[in-house]
Amino acid sequence: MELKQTPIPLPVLGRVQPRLALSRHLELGVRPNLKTPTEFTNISVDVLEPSGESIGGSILRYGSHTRIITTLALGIREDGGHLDNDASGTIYPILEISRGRVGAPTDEEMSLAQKLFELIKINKVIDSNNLRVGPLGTQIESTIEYPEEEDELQTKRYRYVITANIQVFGRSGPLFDLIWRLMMIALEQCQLPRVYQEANDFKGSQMRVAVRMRGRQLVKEDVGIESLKFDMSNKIPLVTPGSPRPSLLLCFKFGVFEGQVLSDIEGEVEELSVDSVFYLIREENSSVIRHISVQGKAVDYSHLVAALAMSGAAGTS
Amino acid sequence: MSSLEVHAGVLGNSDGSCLYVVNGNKVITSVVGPIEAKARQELPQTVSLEVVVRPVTGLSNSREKLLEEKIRNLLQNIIIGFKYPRQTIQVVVQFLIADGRPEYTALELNMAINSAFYALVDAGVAMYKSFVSTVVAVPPEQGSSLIFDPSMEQIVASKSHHVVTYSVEHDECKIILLESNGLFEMKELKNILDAAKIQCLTVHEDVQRDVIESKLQQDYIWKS
Repeated sequence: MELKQTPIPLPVLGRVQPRLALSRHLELGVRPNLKTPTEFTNISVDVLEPSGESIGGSILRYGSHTRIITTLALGIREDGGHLDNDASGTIYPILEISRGRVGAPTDEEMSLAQKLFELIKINKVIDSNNLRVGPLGTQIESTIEYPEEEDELQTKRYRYVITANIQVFGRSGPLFDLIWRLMMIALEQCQLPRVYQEANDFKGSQMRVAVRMRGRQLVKEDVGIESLKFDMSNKIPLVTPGSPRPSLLLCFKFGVFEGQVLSDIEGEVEELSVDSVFYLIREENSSVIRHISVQGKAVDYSHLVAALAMSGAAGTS
Repeated sequence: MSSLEVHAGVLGNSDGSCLYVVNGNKVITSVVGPIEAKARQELPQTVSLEVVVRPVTGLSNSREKLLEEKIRNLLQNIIIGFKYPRQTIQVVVQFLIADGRPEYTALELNMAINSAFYALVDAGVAMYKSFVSTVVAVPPEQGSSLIFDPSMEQIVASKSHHVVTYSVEHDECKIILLESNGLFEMKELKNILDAAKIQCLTVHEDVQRDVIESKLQQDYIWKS
């Protein structure tokens, strides 16, 4: 009996023996996703206009399949006094990777959201002062008047709370770099509505606290958080002009396979095969690095240097 | 130099455990396993690793989930998985005193990794290599020397801080985990990694060896 050689198509080999498939591809100088070892997939990000309760957002397109959408929502909380004296603020992300099922968040979703929360704060992306609610306006009939300075009689101070809802469609590999880019652009374009209270709150038998006139303004001595409203026609930017732009903080991912650094790992074969994965956040047009996280079998300094060089080429292209 | 206390085998009902105290922060880690895996955890060719991190107070949340993921990814590459197919090893890290802030987990990650090493050794789990973790903070002042095992205040005030874990095998060190945050350049990172390597080798020789030797003496005390 003659035994015939059975050819195994590459997609099948990739599922059965991902390391072998990746190794064979790299011998030919190309990866299973047809990128070269130092190539990055194109990313485009569009800003979403505020609508309804959203104060901003962005949509990211990565390759031909992955789409990530974030919308930013706003809330208000009371200022924590000395507990809120950090120089930098952060956001509260809720992340969902669509996999055709509903249920509790997966470990990956929780880890990604937490990492984003931590790194936005550590990298001082948001100035904590910009999250302070400014002088409260007062709506009298159809106009809202804002005092120039905060009223000293107002004992309570408030802060904005930004919640980011992130939806991932068509996951094709590790996601943190994509989510970071998406979020930086969303935050850069985000505008915070000023806060006011309606004059009705001061009138008649519903009045709960002392109100007095000062100049042409009504002043409420202590404002309840429930009576505050957003003035969507009067907004101030979250990132003030002149301060560092979040979108200049670029995040890249890399993998190390048999001692070779692969940029922007993508696809099941690469994700399953690489020995180590690392993320790098750097400033654009600068040699300053903001974050590196490495996990894996064995990474050395030369891999990090190679990754930085690749990220530099990608950042300028 | 930081104050460091390591007590292995402190829990009677687990296969391995370690009480790890550094600069007043305290963590207790237990290892149970290899034990029979739950059906959904069972992996045909390797061990399934379950890592649970519990905070000082309250319930675990996404902060602990991220720590669990980092520790699990590290241990997966260290434990010789094929020796325990269809089995589970459970690692539970319980912080007792932790100088932590919501966004800074460097100290906790470092403590968890180091205590997990002693607990795994105590449990007799087969590992490819030893590993040692250290935290390095770079002070904001130009020319200041690096701070090893810094306090939380030093981390917050630092220019950058780094959790570096090296695997150690016959004096050969490889980075198996690196978490760097702050402002730094590649040249600086090289110096930090070199300094961390020396620190890790020192801890490996002076602390890890001593703890393992004294543990073995305790285990075989009936022989003498």
